[in-house]
Amino acid sequence: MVRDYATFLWRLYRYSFLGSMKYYVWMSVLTILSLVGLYAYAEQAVSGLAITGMTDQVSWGVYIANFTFIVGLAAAAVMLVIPAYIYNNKHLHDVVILGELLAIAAIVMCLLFVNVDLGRPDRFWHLSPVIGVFNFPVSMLSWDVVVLIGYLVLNIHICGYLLYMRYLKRKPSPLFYMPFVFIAIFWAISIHTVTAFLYVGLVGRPFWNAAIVAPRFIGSAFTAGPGLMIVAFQIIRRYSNYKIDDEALHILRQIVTISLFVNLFLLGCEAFKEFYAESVHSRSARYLFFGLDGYTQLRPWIWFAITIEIIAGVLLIVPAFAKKMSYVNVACVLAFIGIWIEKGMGMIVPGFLPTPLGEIVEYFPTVPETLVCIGVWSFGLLMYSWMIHLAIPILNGELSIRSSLSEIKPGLPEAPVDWKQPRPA
Amino acid sequence: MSNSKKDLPSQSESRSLNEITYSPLTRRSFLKFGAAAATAYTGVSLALSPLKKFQEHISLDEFLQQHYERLTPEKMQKILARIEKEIARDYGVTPRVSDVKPMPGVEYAYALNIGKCIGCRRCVYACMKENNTSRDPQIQYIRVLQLPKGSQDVDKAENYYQPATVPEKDRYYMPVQCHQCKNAPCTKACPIRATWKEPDGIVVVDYNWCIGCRYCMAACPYWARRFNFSKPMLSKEDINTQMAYLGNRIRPRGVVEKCTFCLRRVRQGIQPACVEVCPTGSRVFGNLRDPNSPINYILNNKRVYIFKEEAGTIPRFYYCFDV
Amino acid sequence: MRRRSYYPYIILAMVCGCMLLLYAAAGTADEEVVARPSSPTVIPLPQDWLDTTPIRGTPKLIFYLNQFMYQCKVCHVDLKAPTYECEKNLNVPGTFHMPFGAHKDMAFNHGLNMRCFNCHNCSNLGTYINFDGSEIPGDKPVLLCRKCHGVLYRDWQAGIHGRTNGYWDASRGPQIKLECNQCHNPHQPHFPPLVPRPSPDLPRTVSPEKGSRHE
Repeated sequence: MVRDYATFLWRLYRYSFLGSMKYYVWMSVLTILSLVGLYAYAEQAVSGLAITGMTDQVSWGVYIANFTFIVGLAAAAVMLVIPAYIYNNKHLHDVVILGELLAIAAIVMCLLFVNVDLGRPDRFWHLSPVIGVFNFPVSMLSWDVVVLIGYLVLNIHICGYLLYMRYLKRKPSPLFYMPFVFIAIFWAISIHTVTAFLYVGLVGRPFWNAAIVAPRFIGSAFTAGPGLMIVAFQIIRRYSNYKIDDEALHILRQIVTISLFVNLFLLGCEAFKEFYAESVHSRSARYLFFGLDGYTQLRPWIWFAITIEIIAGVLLIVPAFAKKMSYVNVACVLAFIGIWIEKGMGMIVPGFLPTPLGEIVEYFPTVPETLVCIGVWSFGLLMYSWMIHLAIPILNGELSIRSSLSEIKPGLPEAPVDWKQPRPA
Repeated sequence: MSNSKKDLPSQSESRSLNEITYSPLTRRSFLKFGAAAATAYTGVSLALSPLKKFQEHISLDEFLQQHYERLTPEKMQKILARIEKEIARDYGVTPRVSDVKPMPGVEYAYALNIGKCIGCRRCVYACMKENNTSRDPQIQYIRVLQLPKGSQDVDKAENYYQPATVPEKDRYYMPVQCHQCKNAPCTKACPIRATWKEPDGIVVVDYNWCIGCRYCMAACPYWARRFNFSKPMLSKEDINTQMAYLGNRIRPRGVVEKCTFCLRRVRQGIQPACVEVCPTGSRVFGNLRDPNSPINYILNNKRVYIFKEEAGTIPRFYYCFDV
Repeated sequence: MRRRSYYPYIILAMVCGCMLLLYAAAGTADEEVVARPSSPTVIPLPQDWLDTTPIRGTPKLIFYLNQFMYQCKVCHVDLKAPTYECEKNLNVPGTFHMPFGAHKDMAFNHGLNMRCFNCHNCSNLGTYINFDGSEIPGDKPVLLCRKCHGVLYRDWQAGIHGRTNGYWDASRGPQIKLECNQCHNPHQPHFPPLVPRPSPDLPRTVSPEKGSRHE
């Protein structure tokens, strides 16, 4: 049995390097971008975080902004699980694993973003419970570590188990995956809620110290995540022979629509609370939306984000547009970009400005910082593309224990081999 | 919405997976593999080439060092000796780093008379001298705010005032430093307990345990914490060679630091540096448990308020004014 | 063949163009931040920034005129107590008749206390006078000031007016309390304005022209 599994892993390894020209080009481009990011990170390791745009005043920047956004993507990837398993929607079963693979790639990206943000990444072992000191349950960051790693393990188990069972052409035993699937549903909500609580729990930052932050995070996550999945699944559908029902895309579209309007509603609630009776605590919101004392760097970004989110909402709700997939795709991309800005520069940076002592020091990422971000995003895309490339043949049944690659490529002179036989001489 | 079989493995692949894995190595496959491996190796080493300039020395002992609260006295002595060597190597001085333990039965508090403070900033620089904070980039634990009369709103504060003389007309001055809060948000935030409250009330940071995540900096309502974005630079003549492990030793890059009420001094009974140098006598430091201490006199007799009291941090730093 | 609608892609292209423009505008607005190379020649703090000498220095009140040190008795060797008539002329209500001669370059601004002999003992210059006419030694100015500044004296005794140098814990070492005239000029006691030490360096990402938040 171990030999079977080892062979499975070996075949996956070999298959990682087999693909069409488009596959090679795509993976090469992503690899090059990841290496560029690695180069920039090496520069950061040499010079310290001084090479970024972060200061004592704005001590978290685009790394943590991307981390926050991508945790949302990871959480939303499991959104598919709810209709698939709880409402027993057969159409979504095809895509649940693809969504969970996205969750795995997203969590890896999150862990990378946290690592590149640390001042002393060599001391990462200090976080472990026994040999280090783990300040659980007091520190919200420790909760974040627990839920993110737990979510990663959960999804690796579920995907790994289901894919391996499919490879073995065996029916997966519900005992080994159904409980975890249901845990994953709650866990997905919790990872993003805990990430939100990182910010909500800080009494010294009035922009974040509000209960609405957690619902806003969930709302925006469930817009951006399924939006990404709609586009990703169409790409998968186009470049492989994997069947994805239109119905799955329609359900995702409905999720995106509802979540987008919930997100816009919560944004409106936030705006009312900050600006109807403006107090000292509203200064950060004023800086973000209208500029403060001549500092207006974030203002065009947030209004741009809100505008494209509204455009996306219109495209999704007006039946004439929502019927056509091309418009839905555009809406998803617009919503994705808008929420990335809103959650990144629109949430992290204004939380720090004005500082608790009234100072405003504007933040913008430097070139090395941006390159590291590009590198991590490319690496995440690389991981996801690689996992999809491996998963599709397994899900299709083309790569299974009784097949060899020649079954995927008809017309080649090769007979199927019985793996239990000794090697040919 | 048709599914097209476009991305199947290349038809030019003349060998199947089976043959590749089980057949003997051919020149062609070896060369292909070799070319790919060489490209990968070149790419990764190019990407990592900046590490040639890496200057930080992290010894194995430092990497494996445990949390301060788990260190035995013998281990502590070894660590202190190692730190002294590291500082001597990096800065060219001969430091004396000690582990100053808290005084039993003592709880510190600090009062600052904003009626008397004239904003001369001597405290800021005395603090820099005592605590060996980086000069370039400049790290100052104390930030003096210049506020207009009639307002406590720090958004109206001027941080970078530089008039010919202070105090300026219709302005008052409010220095802010770490308040060593009794209900500190920063100690709650730290995921690895690299910062904690000592029995005498001082909130300390173990600079060899901190991973530099900066969550404590986000948590602090008083903007009291500083981060070493690059290696601290000080000149030899400026270094205070009497250092404490939890206090004023020269910090490494990538860790958080802050005011520690001059831990090395106060735990030996000496006044903090900022108190010693203040020309107007606005700063008062003492032991809360001593009913006759000056700090208790202020708390009992003067008008005292707490900065950002609504945050619920219960600081040990009080602002007072005469009468 | 289904007719393709290009409008969505046009919208998308415009959005991407706006994003690029925003990044370009924001990115070029600030100068490139490069990690400052560590400079081995960091200028040390000037020594006088760390000086704990009180503003007026030594406890003894010494009278200087043209850089010569005078004791009061040098000039007032045979000064008798002023007659009421004499003093009356000196203290015309509404005007302050500045003492002439050697004292004319001194500044006097002690609020309502503008009568020299409220503090100075005219029968024994160099010492001070108490409410009941008894003498206060010349080297104990605190006993003089407390005549009128009782609240401040009480605070000073408790250690909260004026600075206490040395040890906060008196059981471990000496505490150095300053005397009144080490900070306050008795004739013009208002604490003088001082030259402030330099403002903090601007954060490394802020260019000097832009500056940070000023008011």
